[in-house]
Amino acid sequence: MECSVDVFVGNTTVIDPEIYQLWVDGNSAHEAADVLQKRGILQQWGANMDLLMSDVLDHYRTFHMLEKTLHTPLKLTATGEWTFQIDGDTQQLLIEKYYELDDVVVREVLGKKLSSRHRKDLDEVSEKTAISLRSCRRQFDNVKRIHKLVEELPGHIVNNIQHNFLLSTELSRKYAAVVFIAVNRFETTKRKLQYLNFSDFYHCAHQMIEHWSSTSCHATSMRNQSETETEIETDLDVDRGFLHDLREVRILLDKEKELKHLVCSQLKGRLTDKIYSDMESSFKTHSRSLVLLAGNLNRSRELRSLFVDLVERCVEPLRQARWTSRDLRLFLDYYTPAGVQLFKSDSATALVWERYMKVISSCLVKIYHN
Amino acid sequence: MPGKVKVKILAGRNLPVMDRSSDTTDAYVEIKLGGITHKTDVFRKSLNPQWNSEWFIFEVDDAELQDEPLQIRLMDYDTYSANDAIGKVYLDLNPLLVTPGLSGRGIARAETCSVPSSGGTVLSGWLPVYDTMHGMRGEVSVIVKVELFSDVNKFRQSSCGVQFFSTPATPYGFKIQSIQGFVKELVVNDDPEYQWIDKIRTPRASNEARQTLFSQLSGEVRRKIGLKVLELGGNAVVGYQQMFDLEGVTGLVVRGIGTAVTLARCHFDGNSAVTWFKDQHHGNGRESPRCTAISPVDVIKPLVSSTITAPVVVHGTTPSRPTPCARRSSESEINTTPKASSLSDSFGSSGGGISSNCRPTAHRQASVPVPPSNTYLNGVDVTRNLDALEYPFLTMKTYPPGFIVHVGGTVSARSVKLLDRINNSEEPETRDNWWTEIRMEVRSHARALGCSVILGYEEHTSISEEVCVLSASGTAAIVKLQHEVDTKDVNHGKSNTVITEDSKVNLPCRVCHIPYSKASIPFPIKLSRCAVCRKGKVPDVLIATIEPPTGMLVSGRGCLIQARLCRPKRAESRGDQQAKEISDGLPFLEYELHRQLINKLRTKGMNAIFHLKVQVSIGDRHVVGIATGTALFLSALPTPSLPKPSNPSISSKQSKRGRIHKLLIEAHAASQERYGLNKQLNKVNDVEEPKWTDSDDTDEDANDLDLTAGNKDSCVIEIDDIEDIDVIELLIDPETPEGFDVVNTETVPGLPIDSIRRRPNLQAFNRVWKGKIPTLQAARHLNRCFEMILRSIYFKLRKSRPCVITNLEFSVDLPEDDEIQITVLGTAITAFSKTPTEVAPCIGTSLRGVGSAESEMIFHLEDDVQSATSNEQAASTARVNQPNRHIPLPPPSNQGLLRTPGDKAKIFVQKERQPVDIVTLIHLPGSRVERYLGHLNFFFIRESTSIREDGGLSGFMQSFITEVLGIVRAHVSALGGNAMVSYFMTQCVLLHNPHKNQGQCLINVGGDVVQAARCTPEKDV
Repeated sequence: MECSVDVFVGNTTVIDPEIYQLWVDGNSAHEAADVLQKRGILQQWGANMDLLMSDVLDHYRTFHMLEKTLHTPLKLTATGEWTFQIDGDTQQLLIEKYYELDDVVVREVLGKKLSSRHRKDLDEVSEKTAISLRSCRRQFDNVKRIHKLVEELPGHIVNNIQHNFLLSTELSRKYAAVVFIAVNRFETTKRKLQYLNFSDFYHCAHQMIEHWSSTSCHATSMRNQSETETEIETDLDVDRGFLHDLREVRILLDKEKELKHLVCSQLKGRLTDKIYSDMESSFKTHSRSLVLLAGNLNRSRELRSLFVDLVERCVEPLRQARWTSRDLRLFLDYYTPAGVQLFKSDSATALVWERYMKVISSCLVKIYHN
Repeated sequence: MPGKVKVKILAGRNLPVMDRSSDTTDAYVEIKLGGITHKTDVFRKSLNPQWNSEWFIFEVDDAELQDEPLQIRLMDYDTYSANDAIGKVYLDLNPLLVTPGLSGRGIARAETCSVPSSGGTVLSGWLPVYDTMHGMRGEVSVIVKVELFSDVNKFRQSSCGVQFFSTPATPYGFKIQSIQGFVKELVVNDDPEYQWIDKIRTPRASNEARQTLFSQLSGEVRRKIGLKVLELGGNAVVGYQQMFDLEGVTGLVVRGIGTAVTLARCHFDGNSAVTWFKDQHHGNGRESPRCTAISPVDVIKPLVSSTITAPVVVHGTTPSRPTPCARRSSESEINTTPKASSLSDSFGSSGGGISSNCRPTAHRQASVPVPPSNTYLNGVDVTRNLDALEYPFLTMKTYPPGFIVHVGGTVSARSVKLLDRINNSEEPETRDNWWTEIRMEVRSHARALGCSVILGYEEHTSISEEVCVLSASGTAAIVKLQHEVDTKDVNHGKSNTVITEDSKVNLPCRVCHIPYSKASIPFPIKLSRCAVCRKGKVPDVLIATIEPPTGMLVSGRGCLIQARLCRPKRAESRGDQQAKEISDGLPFLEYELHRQLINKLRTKGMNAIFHLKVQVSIGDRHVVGIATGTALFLSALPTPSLPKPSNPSISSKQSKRGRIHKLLIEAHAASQERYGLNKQLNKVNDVEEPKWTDSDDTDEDANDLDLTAGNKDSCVIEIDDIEDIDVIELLIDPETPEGFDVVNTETVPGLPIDSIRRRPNLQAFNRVWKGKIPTLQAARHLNRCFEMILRSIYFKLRKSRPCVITNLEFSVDLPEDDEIQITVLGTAITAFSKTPTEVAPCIGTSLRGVGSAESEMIFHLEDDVQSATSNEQAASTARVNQPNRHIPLPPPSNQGLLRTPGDKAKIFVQKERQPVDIVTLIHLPGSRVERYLGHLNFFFIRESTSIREDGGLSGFMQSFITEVLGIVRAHVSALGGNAMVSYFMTQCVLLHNPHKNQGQCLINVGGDVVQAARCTPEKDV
């Protein structure tokens, strides 16, 4: 029936989670109605397409109004505005769904500058990921919004996101990873890195946030402590002092023989013969890549290409030698303590090595797949 | 005598960015009351300014306090150019002017009432800042205090202290000590929208001038009514209705009507008088299951089972069938006056089918029968007073048990007027005279029915160009005021002693008995013996504008009934001619409406309609009439017979007729089952028919009647042509989906709401629909529009079944040539999602008719239970975690990378703001009203020049209504309330200019602010 106005406004804002999900997923009102129709809603409730369309449009208008508020979720809650009356559980649902991320989309956005130029390229992302363009844009904008707000905030990034956007811990951690990677401008888009998915980066980013950032509990060296006192504490920055100290681990290059001996003696019998012999023969290469990487991390270019380096120098050679990830884990498990042992005269460097290897091991194992 | 208003501006939040270059705002606040303005300092570069101002003090006359809103305007300071307005807050100070000592703001403070407490006269909180061009723009935190020195000068102009309630009943916690009677006031002004200055000022200035004016006029009307109340010796107005007539170029009329009463607080334990309404409820609730089982024998002890019985006769809105011709002649002299003609009718109900009784001839005073023997009135001063009043009108819809002695029927009057310029706005005599005429007419109709008072009185207008239709309607009744008697004695004390010889008095069916003696019936009517007491005479159909009186015996459940009609009108006629055309057409419209209503009622197998509301709207090309009511089956009234189609002239169409007949029978059966009428019906039939009634003869009788005499049985539907077939199809409403109960009364008669849902979820909703109305088959189309709107409401609420929709109110406007705007207001009561559902079985048994829905319903309930428990778990998690809320989490531990999804984010659940419930009802299901904090009446205008970008007209309307509700909630909360009852929306005028991409909407909303406490299940029982 032709009409120019067709609205239903309740005192309590009516939210239909099913339709909301369709909206969040980027369906147009017509598409949403089609989907619902296919799910049999018309038969279930004895309605016709007009009614369904009117209802969907009504919800869509509400969502459209809500969207502005969702950009600053705090406004939805007790300290927020009177415009919408929505109970707590529904608020949570609205926010959580609106900020929902698709891993495939985030993977594409990752490492790109969050500029309007890239926003325009989202149609490619949409094509590639089969996620609707609208949804891609929403995710892009959400990442950008959160990035902009928490970039400058001191303290723990996950907490900051949770407090300002009222997201679940899980989702906040996702955003934290994206922001961390963006702030430190890690290279993630190289061809060689294409095989990595978002959960790999997520894992690595959180490893670094946890162990390498200025606020991490590993802040060991005296120099580091005095520096951070004057700066704003944030776990978005990798601890500069730590990176500086890392240069010391190059000593290991000189002690390569001892290192090899220590590791090989431990691993003998634990690895298959074939892998063991490869390890033995190319120990020097493997070890050198890890140590050199550590030694150069204080140069920001090196830090940015961390993932590339890891893949090029470690993952690829090992993969060629047909190591399994179990092999890799075993190797790393013994390689790290061996290093520590060699630093026994210099306990500070030993700690730095351990702090470095903890993250690197964990990351390597994670990204060691096809 | 002055009052002192103190205002403090604390802070603002979420203000809009006014300075694009720096993305901030330099905000300050202007506070204006009457002619005085104060300003705060400028708080630079912030969207969340903290002014924390000193106290600004206004010393103003108390009359001004009542008329003028406090205006708080937020401005953006600009060094080089004019400061920009951010938005405004209009604060009605009236709720702060009621001194607690005088009218008792709350039963909670009953004991300390002599000590003026300052608690009630403070308003504080965050209020949304509203701009007519941009909508909501942030919020401002204010504190407002009023110190009033009361004025006892008898020449005073102010009426502070008189409390207004839009609630059409005795407010909870009070009892009515005496009723002073009907009060009315009318104020006329120019509409700024139509003044020359409007051509040169900005839309914002123009809208704000209008909003301010409406606010002032509204205050003025209330003040003047208050003065009348004080003169009469009352202290409050209940059932207050205020209407704005936007006449256009000829100006603006603000009308207020209400009932002046003296309220006294009841004590907290408050029994009977605390809530008439509640009593009724509980009565219904507890007893109704039993009532289905009442055999005629039981009925004799009716007081025990208080349910609703049926009243009597009448219904007036429509000219009942009688004789359009006869009537015409009697009124011819009126019609000859070119300017305006009035028409009116009172009807006894025609019993639907049988004898309609319209009073044939003169209904003007001529036939005023002597008021019925005054037996019931004896000895009650107040009643006599009421009787003697110029207008014995009461605007309440619900009355205490025992108050209504007999219901006569609906009376109404309409008058068509031609608007002319109001020359002297100080003396709005013309408008006053118009209403005086029409009220006199209504009064005379009531007298014709042998009734002394009119209950549930309402007045409405519909304006199109320069023609205006005035309507007034109410329910004629005989009442007994027992409020001077101790309320506990209400039912037994005085009345018994006065009329000991008449045992009828105590019967619950008494209300249905006719108030006139059979001999002096003012019009032909079919009467039968009361099915309950077998003594009194009852009509065959009873139609009333009030809520079903407490204690009536009802069988089955009630349901919504609606008649819709659309008559074409020649668009080219203007002025006098147009007025005459409308005036000539109205009787036919009313007659048709009535016929449709009665036939639908019979098809449903019911015999009474309550809360009837008839609206006649005029437009350029059409006149639309809508009659909405709640149909039910009163045990006292005879069983209605099913309408029978007949087409004497075209015998060849037998088969078609048969088909229609079958349709009717099917619809009838479906309704019987759906509303639980079967059992009762059979019983009634068994007993009744042989002994007391001759309803089977009805048809024969009818056939014998002379059509010209107006006694055609509306039970027989003639099918002469295709259109008539359409008409019949219109009689059969699509069934209301299982799980919904829809009425326009406060509660569903016969359905025990309170016992079903102890903690219901309340949702007042506004539905606005605007569309085209084709010239061809307009009536059919109209019907489809309404069906669609109803179905869309069910569909919208599909996930909250079982659901009760109450107080459904329709209003129709015909703004443009072929456009129709339908506004629906109602309250949906649904099971609260978090409620533990021990109530489930209850819902199942009482809601489910039979059949298919059964299994579905069961699943539904199970789902409920599950979600309820999971919600509870979630809630408890949240509670446990709450103390941590603002403490940063400890650094993530080494191992646990992810939390389980189960506990996600619960830590961050904020303390919820206490929700503000809004209902159109006078009570809050599941809660108890503890204090009334004042009456609010808002007038908002919203304009946009980017309608397309706002999501079209629908998007514009939706955000506007959403914002208006938000503002209402904020004001309720600032006054210390947590709910609004008797919410209304009396105006919703939408103008649209698609070529300019521009639109404007006016809305008038309001209601009573209350503080309510959730009933605990134990207390509730």
